[in-house]
Amino acid sequence: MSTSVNSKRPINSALLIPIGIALNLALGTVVHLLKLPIFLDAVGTIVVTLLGGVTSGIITGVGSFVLAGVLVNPAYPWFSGTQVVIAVFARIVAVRSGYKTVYRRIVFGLLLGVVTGIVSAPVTAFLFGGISGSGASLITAYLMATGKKVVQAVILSGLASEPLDKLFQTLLAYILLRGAPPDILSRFDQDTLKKNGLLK
Amino acid sequence: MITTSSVRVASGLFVVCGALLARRWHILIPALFGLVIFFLATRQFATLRRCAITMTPIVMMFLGIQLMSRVLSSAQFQTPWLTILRLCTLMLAFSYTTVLFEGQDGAEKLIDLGLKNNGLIIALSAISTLPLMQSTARRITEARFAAGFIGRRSIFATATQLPYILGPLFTQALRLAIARSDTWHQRELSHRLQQNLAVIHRSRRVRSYELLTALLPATWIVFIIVTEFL
Amino acid sequence: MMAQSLTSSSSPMDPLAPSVLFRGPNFSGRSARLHAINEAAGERGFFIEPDIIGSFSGVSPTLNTELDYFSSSLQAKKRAHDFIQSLSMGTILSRNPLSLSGGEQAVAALGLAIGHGSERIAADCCFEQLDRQLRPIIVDCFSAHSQGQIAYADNRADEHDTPACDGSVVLPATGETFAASLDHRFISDRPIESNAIVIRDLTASYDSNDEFILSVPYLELEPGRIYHLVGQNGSGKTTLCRVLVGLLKKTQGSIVSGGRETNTWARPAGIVSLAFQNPDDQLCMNKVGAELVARGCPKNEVVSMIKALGLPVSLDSHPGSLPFVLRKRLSLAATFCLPRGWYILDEPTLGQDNESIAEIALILERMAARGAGIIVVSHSERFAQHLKAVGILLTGGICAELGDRREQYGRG
Repeated sequence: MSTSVNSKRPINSALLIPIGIALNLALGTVVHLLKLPIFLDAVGTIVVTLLGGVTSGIITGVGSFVLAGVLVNPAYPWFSGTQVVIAVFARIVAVRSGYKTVYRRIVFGLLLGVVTGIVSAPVTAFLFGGISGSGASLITAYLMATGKKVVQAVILSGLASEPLDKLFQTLLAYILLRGAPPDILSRFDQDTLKKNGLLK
Repeated sequence: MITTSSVRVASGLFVVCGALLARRWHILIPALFGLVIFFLATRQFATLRRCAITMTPIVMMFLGIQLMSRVLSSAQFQTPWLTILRLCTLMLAFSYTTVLFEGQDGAEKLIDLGLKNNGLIIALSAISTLPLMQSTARRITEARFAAGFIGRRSIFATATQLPYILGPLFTQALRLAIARSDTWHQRELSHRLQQNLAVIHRSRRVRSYELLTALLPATWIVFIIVTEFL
Repeated sequence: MMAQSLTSSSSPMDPLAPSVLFRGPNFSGRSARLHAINEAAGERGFFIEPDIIGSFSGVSPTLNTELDYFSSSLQAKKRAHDFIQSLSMGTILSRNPLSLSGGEQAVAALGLAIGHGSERIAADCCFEQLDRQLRPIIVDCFSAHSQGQIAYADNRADEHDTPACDGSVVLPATGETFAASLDHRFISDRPIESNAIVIRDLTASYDSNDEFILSVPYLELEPGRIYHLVGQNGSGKTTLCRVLVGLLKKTQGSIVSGGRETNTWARPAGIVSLAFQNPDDQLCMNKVGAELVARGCPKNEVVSMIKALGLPVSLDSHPGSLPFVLRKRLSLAATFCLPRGWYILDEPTLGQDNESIAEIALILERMAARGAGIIVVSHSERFAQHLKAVGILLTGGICAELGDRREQYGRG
């Protein structure tokens, strides 16, 4: 294995993406095995965006959700737009070294949550009537019961739950990349990784 | 050439468009009915079960909101049956487009839909690699157990292991991506795949009665547009 | 078969020899040579890594489909089918290549190389997990069905009576060898506390539909001894190990340790610690030192632990950056850090050369002398000869104790 890792050929992203998709779905299985009440739907997207660029990230995100729609829960594919936004956001932040320090990571993780909360609100409001069956829906349910309009209720509950969740996922994605062996990381997008403190 | 798979996708898309345009819940009944009959007739009970499992908490929450609003505020909340039925229709339409029967080749279906080159590689590879990632995740979890990191089986103890499981899983996934990239490049596998697929695979032209499955939803959309908007 | 010796200054591949074996200890440059042959062959080359998985395309749901999609011609595909059938492994054709066991994957990869019509195949230490009866014949069988040449490295090549190759290249040792970096002074002599394990009427099933059942009527494992689990692939060795460690629930029977009945499922790794076959499943830290400390090695003993297992690495290096040989040894070191009386080692000899396995056997004997109980699962006969182990034979899920393995192998 050592010699093939040492060769300098760039990685074909068509072979990174399926592994990103399979990893995303396998993470869902791990979370299910450990009976944890969290979702890890964006970790793979952020990681692949940092390693392979924004197109790879978008295809990973959308592909994960479409495959999850087939295998797990048919509600997923309708939120593919959110994955696109996550990939684009991660790319913009990474190019500007936004993940270099802990402080910046926290800020951009929370900001990502705000953005996804707003972007996914129309889908939840129009297609799902506000209730998507997740934990945040309980907040939405309460707000709707007290008379707020659907879209308002969804955005408010999204702003309450998404930032923390996306912060956790951003930090997790960063920890995963930092924990990978350096000679493996050096086969991918070295500039972006160096800018964000993941490669020397 | 119009193939069976493209007809299936087209009819699924028509149902989706119609469901999005519908403004009254009883308009959705024929589409929903047709889809449920399709799944029952082809014995795809797992799909129906998955939809039911997804929809149940949502419906329960809506009924709960209705109850709560009577207690909490004067504004009366009405359970949006249109939204619920539309959601069911959309989910079943998606499953209808993507469901595979016994003996049907996933690869053939994807090629019929027009996926080529990198798109095809990504789709096929994601489906084939998923069981490997899942079994690797399971093995790494077991390795954590076997190393004595988890003293006693309990919910709390296992939850804290998550970061330690993701690390090795991620590293193995990246190694595999690199090894595959080198393999595909050296042996020019995408070229071989194109050549051999052209020989093995012969798309099936659609039969006339199968076109009905696309015509019915198309008629349904026209009906909706006429009654709702004109 | 006439053995032709090739000097290192000649071209990498003798055009007349259908198969060439590269011999040499770890780090003598065999992988580099094989990679060079592969690079020179370009599109007509086929490389099989030690972990084999990267050699498959990853797009095919079954091995049959893989051959359909990537064979160079119908004749090549037929030759590949014939090769696999001739080894009586036709069942692997309808399975996903990524889900096969190590030995099956090696056969699948070779079959794929035949189907590709590759002219130069380079196989780096991938035959170690093959069943005993396949190892001596695999290269001959491959050459009979393939139109290409195979160059390979195999640490266990000396274990069969007939060398299965037409030519061999011997590479001298370079740099650190295991023995040179191993320092026996650092292997601790502290006694290890462990209890006898008595298993009665144990049954466990691997499948939920009871397709395979392990049955152990009576087995007594005494501390201070080394046991060697022997059996065909699929005979229940892994199942027994998993029940003992607590990864699999037993359906009935009792495991008594130190006079007390133990529920291994409720307390995993309570009495037994397991070293997995694939070290990458076990190694989870960013630094070598952290890997050992996390499992209970006191900080001041980390360096001696590293030296005791022959690891010439810095404590701050990333375990994932080490070559496979060293990762395997690190996972052994990590397993021994856990203060349990019993250790199960799954294929500890993978990737290790002959000198190393003799040293590993010595280390295991010293651990047993300190009082630990050790169970080893290994395909290597030479390793079994080094260990003065008691054999436990498993056939079709039924367990029988064999007795001293040295009598078994003393053919004279």
